[in-house]
Amino acid sequence: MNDRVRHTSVIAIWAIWATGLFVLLAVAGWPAFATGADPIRLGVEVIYASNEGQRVDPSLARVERQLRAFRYSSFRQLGSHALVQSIGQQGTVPLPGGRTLLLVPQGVSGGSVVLLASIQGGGKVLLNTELKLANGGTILVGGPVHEAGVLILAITAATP
Amino acid sequence: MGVKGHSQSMEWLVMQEHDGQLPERHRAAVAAHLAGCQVCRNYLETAGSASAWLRSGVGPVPEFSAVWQGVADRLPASIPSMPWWPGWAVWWKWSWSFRWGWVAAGSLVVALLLLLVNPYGRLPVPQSHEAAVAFVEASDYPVMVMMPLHPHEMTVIWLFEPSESSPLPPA
Repeated sequence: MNDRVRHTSVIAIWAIWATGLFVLLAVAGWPAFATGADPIRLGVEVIYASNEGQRVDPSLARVERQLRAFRYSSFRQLGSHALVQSIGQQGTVPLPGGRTLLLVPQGVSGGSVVLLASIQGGGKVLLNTELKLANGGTILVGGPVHEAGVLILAITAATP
Repeated sequence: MGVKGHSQSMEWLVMQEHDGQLPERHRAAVAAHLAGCQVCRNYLETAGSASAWLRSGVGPVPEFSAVWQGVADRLPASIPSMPWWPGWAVWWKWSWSFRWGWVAAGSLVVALLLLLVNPYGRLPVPQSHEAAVAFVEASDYPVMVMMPLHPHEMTVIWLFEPSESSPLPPA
């Protein structure tokens, strides 16, 4: 068997691999790279933190350890909101006390979701922030007074 | 081949005599020279023998097409049968380690692409609570950003009411 046939063999084997991978990418995988067009899943849990009792809602188990670091003894879930927002599309979450949380995904960068968050109420902007959340990551935004305690928002973002 | 001790003109004349092309006007002189020159007589004798051998050596030309046909008829029996694709013949001649090297390399490439492309749904993505705050502004509230010190902790943005103290218990 001469070198020519050997070279033909090597080229043929790589051609088979390349063809298979191309088909794989074209048929099944390529859309997965288009993360920029994928909607972003957002989750907002509205939590009322106070010192009225010692109870933590079981639904808050995922963030309970972090909540217990605050100087409040009771944590009650007032609402849970799930949004699916396209890049640049604004999502709205109503908050107690006539406030509103606005969320606008800005894009996906390095596997993290870039998110604009704004709390507005009484005709004023209480908070403006830009967050970068790892896929499935959560950030807590707290402080606005509510009844005898404060509100804490657990904001989660994930790519589909 | 020259005639030793003779001028080129005499050598030329002797060769013309050998070839039968000697001009008439030189024949008497050349004949007289040959009668007295043993060297030139020897030359003519040798040249005549060589010419006779060359003319007598060429026999009938054989039929070469029949020869090549015979070679062609014998070729199939002497060449081993080839597979339908020559490349696989090389594959089967490779050592097992070389074959498995190719298989391993190809499988690795496919596995990496499957991880990257993941056509059958997302593989479990490690959940993380990592969050970074690019900027924060709150015109009416003092604001504090608490970055996690431990893996299980979360980033916290806290808005203080003017009368409020830290949300964290006193150290």
